[in-house]
Amino acid sequence: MTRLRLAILGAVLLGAAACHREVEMTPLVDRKIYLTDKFYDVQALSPEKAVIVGYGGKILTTSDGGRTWNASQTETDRAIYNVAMVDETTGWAVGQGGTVLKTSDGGKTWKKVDAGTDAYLFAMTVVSPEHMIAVGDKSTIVQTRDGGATWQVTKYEAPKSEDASDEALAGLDDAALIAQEPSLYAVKFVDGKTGWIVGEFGKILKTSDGGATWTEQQQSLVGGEIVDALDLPSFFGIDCIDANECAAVGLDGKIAATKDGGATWAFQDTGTDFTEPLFTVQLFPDGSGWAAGVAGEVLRRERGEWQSADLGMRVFSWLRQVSFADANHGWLVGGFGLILRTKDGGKTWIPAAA
Amino acid sequence: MSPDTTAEKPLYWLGRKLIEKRVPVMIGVTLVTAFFAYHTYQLVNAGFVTSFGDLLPQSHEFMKVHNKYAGTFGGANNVMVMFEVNDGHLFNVNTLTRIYRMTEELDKVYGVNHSQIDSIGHRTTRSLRVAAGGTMRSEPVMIGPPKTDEQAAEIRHIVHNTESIYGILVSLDDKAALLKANFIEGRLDYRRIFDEINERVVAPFGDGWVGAILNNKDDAGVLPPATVEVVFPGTPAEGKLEPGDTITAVDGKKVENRVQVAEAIAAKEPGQEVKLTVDRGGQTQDVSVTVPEPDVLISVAGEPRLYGWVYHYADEAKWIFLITTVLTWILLFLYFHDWRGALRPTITGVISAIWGLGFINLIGLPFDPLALVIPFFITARAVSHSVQMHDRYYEEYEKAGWDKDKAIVAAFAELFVPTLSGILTDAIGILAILLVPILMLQKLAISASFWILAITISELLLNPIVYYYLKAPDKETVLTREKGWFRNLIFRVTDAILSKAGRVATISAWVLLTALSIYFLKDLTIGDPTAASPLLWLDSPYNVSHTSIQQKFGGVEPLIIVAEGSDKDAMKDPQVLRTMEKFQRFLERDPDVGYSFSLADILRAVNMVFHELEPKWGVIPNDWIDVGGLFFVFFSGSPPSETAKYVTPDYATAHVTFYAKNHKGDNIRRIIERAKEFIAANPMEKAQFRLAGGLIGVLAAGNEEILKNDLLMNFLGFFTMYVIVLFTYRSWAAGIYLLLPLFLSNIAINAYMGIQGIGINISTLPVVTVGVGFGIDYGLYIVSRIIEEFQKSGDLEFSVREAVSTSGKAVTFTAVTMVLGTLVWWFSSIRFDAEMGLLLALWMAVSFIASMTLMPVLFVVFKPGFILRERPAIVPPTPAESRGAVS
Repeated sequence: MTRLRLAILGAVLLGAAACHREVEMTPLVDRKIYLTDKFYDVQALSPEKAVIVGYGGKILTTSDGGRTWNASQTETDRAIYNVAMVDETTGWAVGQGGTVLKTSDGGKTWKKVDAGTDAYLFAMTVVSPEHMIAVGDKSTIVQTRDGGATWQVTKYEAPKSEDASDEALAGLDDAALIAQEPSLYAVKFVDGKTGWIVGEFGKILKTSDGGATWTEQQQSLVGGEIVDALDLPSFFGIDCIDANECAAVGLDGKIAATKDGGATWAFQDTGTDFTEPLFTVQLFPDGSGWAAGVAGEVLRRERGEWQSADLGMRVFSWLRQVSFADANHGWLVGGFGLILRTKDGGKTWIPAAA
Repeated sequence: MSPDTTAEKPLYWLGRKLIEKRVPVMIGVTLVTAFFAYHTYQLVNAGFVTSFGDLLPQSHEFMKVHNKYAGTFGGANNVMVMFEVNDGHLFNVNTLTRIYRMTEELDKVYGVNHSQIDSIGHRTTRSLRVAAGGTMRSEPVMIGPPKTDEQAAEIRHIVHNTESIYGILVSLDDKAALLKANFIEGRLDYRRIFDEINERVVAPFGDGWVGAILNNKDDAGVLPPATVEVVFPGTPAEGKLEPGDTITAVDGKKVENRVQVAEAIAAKEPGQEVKLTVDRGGQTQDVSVTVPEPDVLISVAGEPRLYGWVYHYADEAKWIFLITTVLTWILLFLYFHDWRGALRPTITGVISAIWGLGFINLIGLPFDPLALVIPFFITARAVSHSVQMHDRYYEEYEKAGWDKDKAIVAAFAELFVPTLSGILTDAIGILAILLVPILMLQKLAISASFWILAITISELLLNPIVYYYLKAPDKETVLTREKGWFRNLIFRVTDAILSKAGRVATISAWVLLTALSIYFLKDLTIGDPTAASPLLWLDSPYNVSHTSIQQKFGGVEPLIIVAEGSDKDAMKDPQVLRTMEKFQRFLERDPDVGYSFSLADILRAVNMVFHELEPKWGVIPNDWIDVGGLFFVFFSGSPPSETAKYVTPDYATAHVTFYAKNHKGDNIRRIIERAKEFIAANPMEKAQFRLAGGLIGVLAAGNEEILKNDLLMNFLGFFTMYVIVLFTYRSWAAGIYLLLPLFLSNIAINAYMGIQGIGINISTLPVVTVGVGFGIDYGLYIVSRIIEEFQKSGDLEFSVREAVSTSGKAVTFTAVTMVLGTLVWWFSSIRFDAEMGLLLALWMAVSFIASMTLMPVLFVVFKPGFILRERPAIVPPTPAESRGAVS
């Protein structure tokens, strides 16, 4: 019996000696913001509220100035490029591959809407509560005038002009390029009727009939150092104070502005030797404003004069959107999960909590 | 002694026969020893070598992926060099030139895979640029070192706008650049890689930097004279050296090339003057340059570097060997009171070492510095057996009435059985490692087993002959020893343990210890349990470098997961690319995955640059034609050898590489498990993910094999011992009595490993497996002696006392000697050796204490039948009075 007991004890001990801990499944990091995030758009809704969209179908909202974030359900993993809330509950977002999303619960959930296109919808604007216009690659313009029930997909086509035929003669390659449908990168309306679209190859399109017809305005920029319409920089962003005064920003750090509703556009002195693309601009009626672009470059406008702005930190990633709720409260978003916020009109910027 | 009394005679006969035939036996042994000595010489001459391929469990499914793609997508042997500036940023002419030159030098290190170098200074790191006419072309980020600040600014611009470079090869704060190189498995020469990286990549641009770039146009491996090419403004060399100067001497010592210049300057302290002799236009001049404070920190990490450090420290082994030998000699002399006692174990140690090492060379096993503890450990076994024999010889010498020949034969015959079964259990027990399909471990097991068996040559075969030639010890010496304090101490302790209170205390103490141990067992892990490399100390230069790279760039150790396409162009499928991307984002959320890289990252970056840097284009296109177009633009300019590291030329197969923050066993298992989980949940139409290459992949495979066989190995180890004990004592119960102390110390040791954070991995497994059988001989000697005494006295308690105080005395001495000897390893710079030394010391100590306390108490309490059946026909009167000093 003694032996048997010892044998059992031995077997138990052997088992104990050989057993090892099971692998512990340390939980996955679950954050709202990662270094790999790319944020394409921010809309400041109030001093404390904002909505941000980005790569991989990501939509984040905050109502406490960025201390906490809520991730929305979006039904898509495509990039979302632009967001606009119509009111407290309703809003639109557009993105890669013809993605159009609509929210009816203040941004908590977003439902896919089939707008009948698979173009990249780079930008969008809400003209009136029922009227939304989105623009994208291959000169696509998508509109709904009934809150998303029906959609109208058109392609902007440049009028055949003498210029175009001259260019066609100038060189086949260039002509082929210009003949391609330019991407449209930004759209801005100042009222129900008047609005602008900017895009590739320096295109500036204006509508005065609520988006039914568009006319090109960029010709006035040709002259001086730009000798040819082909040399015009692509514009990535536009903002207007009213129906007369607008600014568009784009390639080579160029800012083009108009004070006469677009009849004449002129490049402005940016106060820097910055030659990289600017992607976004916001103007205020008092002559101040912001612009931002590649490699953390931020410009600031004071009394109509542009100058380089200091963020108070080293930022090298691209900044895609600037948005101010009022003169003091604003946001900047960009690559590498960057979200910056200011509460003092841009004197100091602080990164949003992850 | 065997219970079979008829076995007594043959052994006595054998002892006498061996003395009789001593000349042919000696000639035979000498010949074989000479043969092995020749091989030992060859092995020692070859120095330390680690054969990486042998470390891999070749039959594991991960290995197929590793072997198939290591040559193109990256193997397990990558070195990372981080160049970090103390002030400012990288993008100036001086710093970028250094990075460019460092990359060139890294490319020249022996064994490097030239198409698997990543650095902003390497031609394969490309970006898209707009060429004349608006067309896009991909060009190296740095075509050469920049000449002007504008060019440096341009490089900065490219880096910031290429998401496949920024944050990956250049840190997000612009302060550090990462240079990565992969080494070809078959050409891994750790010592050479270590030295060449120090001499060529680190010293000239770190501590040996004074501000001058020297000619690095090597001609067929021959370094050119140290001619100055560029002198940077604002550096100590400015105004002192001129382009075209050839440095011929540093501080009067002749130098022939840039490596020697850098080495000489790096040896000086910052602030010191260094005299450079230069040949300027045919004239020799001396210039004095102040060695600057280093303006950069160069950190090097990666597996080949780690092994380089291990090799670097391995030379310490000879000092440790020397100290251990001297220490052992002193202790032996103190114990035996004469030099013969020290000589006998030495003979055994040396002969078995020659046989063992020679055998290692014969089977083609290289001498791995990490395996160094094992030879020490086997030699310890050899010495242990010798001490038993010598002690017994003294005892028999006295008993035989100072008849030397009788004493020799008696000692030989009485100890033959415990010695042989002790050696056999060790030798056969370690063969359990053969279960793990890792060639290195298998070779190690076979050679260690052979080495242990070789102990029998001097211990059993030569033993009587050696004593025959050795002068008999002085009578006084033998008698003095009998009255020594050591012997008295053993008597007292034995009495204390076997007293009523002692029995209870002993058993309770062991029950408590076992309970505690079982509790702590939960911490034992398979794989490396610490974040930094457990092979070296936490504050070692390697681990410091590893940590700084990991903090700046996220991770060092790669896990390569291959996306194998079913068809060509599968990697152009947007769904495949999106799944790769999703996979990256998923696994990056594991706290121990630093970052990852795949073809999808390149595609996004190219798409964005192709579209005038508009970030909204930085996405994976919707259809494969657009994807193909972008790949064409990006890859068309570079030869297939350069693009193959990202994707096969037919776009059928690519990979996702994750960089883990460490190679802790638990983390590896968890990451692999998560990867499998993701793969199962996200099937792709045109491709499938296959695990796994890279260091993490091969380690995962090794750990899995060890884990799979761990239980079986433990079982086999104990089973072997049980069977041998079964045959030795022809008793089912004997095995249990003898193995119980081993079980308990095994559990205690495993618990200690858990508490100390020592994991079971390829390196520790052999040590741990050898240790399982460790200490069985302590028990064997004591049990044999108990039986021997019982056969004479028929009094169990008396026999146990007698055995513990005679055999136990030798056991105690050997245990103390071996523990002290092994502890010397604690001072090794190689943390692994230190920890293993401590572990083995502890192992021996625990087994010894168990054999000396628990086992005798169990015998007295349970009165096992296999001893009682040896009761002599005539029970002599109680012989307690013969105990002498203590009664």
